[in-house]
Amino acid sequence: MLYVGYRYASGAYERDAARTAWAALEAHGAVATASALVASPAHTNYASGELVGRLLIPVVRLDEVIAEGVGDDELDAGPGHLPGSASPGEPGNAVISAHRDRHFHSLGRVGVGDTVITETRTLRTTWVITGRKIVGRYQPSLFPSTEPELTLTTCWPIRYVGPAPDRLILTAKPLRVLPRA
Amino acid sequence: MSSRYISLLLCAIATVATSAGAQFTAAVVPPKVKAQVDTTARQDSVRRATVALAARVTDMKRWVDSAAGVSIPKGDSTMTVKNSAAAVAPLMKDSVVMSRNARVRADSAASIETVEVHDSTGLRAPDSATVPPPTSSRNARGDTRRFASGAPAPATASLLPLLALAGVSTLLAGAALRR
Repeated sequence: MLYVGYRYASGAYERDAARTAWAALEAHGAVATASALVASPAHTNYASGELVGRLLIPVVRLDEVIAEGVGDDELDAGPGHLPGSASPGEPGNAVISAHRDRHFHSLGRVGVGDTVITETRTLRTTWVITGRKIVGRYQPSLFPSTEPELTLTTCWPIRYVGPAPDRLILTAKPLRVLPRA
Repeated sequence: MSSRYISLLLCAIATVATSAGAQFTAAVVPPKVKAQVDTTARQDSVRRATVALAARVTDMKRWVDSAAGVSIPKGDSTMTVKNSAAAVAPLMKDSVVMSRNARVRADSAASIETVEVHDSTGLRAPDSATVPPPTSSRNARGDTRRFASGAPAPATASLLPLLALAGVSTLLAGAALRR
């Protein structure tokens, strides 16, 4: 119990720290200085642990800061951006994952047609969920894309005691992509 | 008189027994010959096991190739099976039934001998619904911490809820026992 409490508490602390850091980035005009990246066709690469952006799902009142990486440490603090996948809003499949018992505990209530918003340092993208499926944990479910695409993943069933056997995959297409300036 | 005859009789019996024992000793197969027979039998069993293993490997390769969609060249002299289902002989069972027509052909590409087997077991081809395709099996347990085409979703499974439930249950059980 002590270990579980420690993990949840440290995750909450790191989550707050990530929110504070992201707010500081926006407040200090880092967004404006990074707008030059909009013109660059290069794929944005993030260092492990680096803040990628913000994820908002209004229908379930989800508002989380995304960090780079899907390891245990990164996922303790918040949703993680899968390294090697596209940055949200850029061409390609952007994959964001999180634990079902923490930041994505309400993802099961998100369905096709719901709106998702992502904010990175350069782009603000409004997405619409176009696909929802349950797959086995080892089933191939991530595929590249030439167009901007967003994939949200978490374990399934949401309320499962033990290592969940399946994965919930939500895919979204962009409605609007706006540069942040 | 009778005791004399009895003693003579006993001496005769003893003499015969002694000679008979010598005869038996001479009639027993020498250990060296028996060891040769055992060694040969052991070598034969080893050879049969090796041949069976080679057959399993060859069949396994053909099964994997066929499942992966790799076209198996026609007229492949390494396999002369007639039954198409037997061509992808599954290795669900541990024992491989060797046909009486099995021949051993030296395979220059491999260090083991390739066996041409006419499989008459009638075993079914692997069920595609239960056996995952090779592409998924390649990525099935690979690195889920980096994006790759056809990769599974990141491993976000957590044991914390189970641990929390176990801890709470233990606490409740302890509280109940204290009453």
